[in-house]
Amino acid sequence: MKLFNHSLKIVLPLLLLLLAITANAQDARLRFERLNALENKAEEVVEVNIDGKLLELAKRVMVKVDDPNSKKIGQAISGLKGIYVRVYNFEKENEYNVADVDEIRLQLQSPGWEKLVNVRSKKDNQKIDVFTMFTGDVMSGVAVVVSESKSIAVINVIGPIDIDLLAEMSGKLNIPKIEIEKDIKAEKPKN
Amino acid sequence: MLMRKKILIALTFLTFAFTFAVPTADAKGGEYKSVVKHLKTKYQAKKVKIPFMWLARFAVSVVRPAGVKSFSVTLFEDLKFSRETLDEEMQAAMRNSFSADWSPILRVRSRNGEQVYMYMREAGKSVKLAVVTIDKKQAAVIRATFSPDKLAEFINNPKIFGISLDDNKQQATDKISERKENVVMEEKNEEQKKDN
Repeated sequence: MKLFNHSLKIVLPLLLLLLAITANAQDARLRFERLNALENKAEEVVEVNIDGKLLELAKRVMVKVDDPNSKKIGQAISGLKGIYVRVYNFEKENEYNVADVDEIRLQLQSPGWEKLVNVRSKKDNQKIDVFTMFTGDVMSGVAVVVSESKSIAVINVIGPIDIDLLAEMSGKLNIPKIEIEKDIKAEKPKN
Repeated sequence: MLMRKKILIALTFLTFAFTFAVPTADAKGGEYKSVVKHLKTKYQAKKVKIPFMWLARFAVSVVRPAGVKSFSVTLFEDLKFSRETLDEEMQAAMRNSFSADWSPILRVRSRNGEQVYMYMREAGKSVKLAVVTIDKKQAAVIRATFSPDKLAEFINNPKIFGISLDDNKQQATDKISERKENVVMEEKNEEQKKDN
């Protein structure tokens, strides 16, 4: 009995720790607390939080509208749980602490996140990172981190996203057109 | 007979009073009043009178365009605030005014004194929306209650008092009525020719 109690004391915390790690790994929601430090330095701040109720509302309206495109958008966002956006614009270059943004990028190094796009440009010191999280075959989250010398933007989408459907909807209903450059050489007809 | 007339007049007045009173009570919730009070007292803001606002609100409560059941707009001018503390103060005021049922959807803060705060909450089948905007020395507090289902219906068929606001549909209706008129005229002409 004593041994059982002792084992329980060791196993239980381990189980709890494992549960916490798994839960954390599967959660696509980013923690923005560190970005709060940028609030006072930024010239302009934009904060968007669209979750639960508002998404349900948007779905309800989209599905009821007699327009095939609206219905498709409603379908595309049907599984979404939240959209969170933070934008910080600064007056001067490099006014913010790079460590604050890197902390967000560090969160995206945790298990579950996969890097999809990585752009580094010397122009305006631009850094673009797009990460995705999959639960099985279903995409359960997207994170976009864009930092430039005078601005920072973080977008976090939580829930399954139908990328094919979104690509199909590009250029319609104010969704930005996704232009995919085709390989010119490949398209050249053979002589 | 005179008594009946008096009762009828009284009833008519009561009905009118009730029609006006219901949207007013619904639109001016505690949170709306609280934000308005904060702007008035903290920043010594002066309320701007909007002419015929009562009429617009009454019309909306009756017509319910785009599913809007009620709305309130309060404008202020001559706000006296410190740019450094405005956002912090406003955020605290919004948090204190709006209960946990309300979700903060949007916040825009600019150092030059432009601020936008948007809150939303579900109320049965309706949705309540509250927007507070501050632009330098002016401010607006807007609150609206609308039905999402009626909004979808309005998007499908934009009509107010049976008048379509959809240009294409209106043009199609005009063309049909024009054709009908032409057919009637042609029939009349033919009848006249036959008579002659």
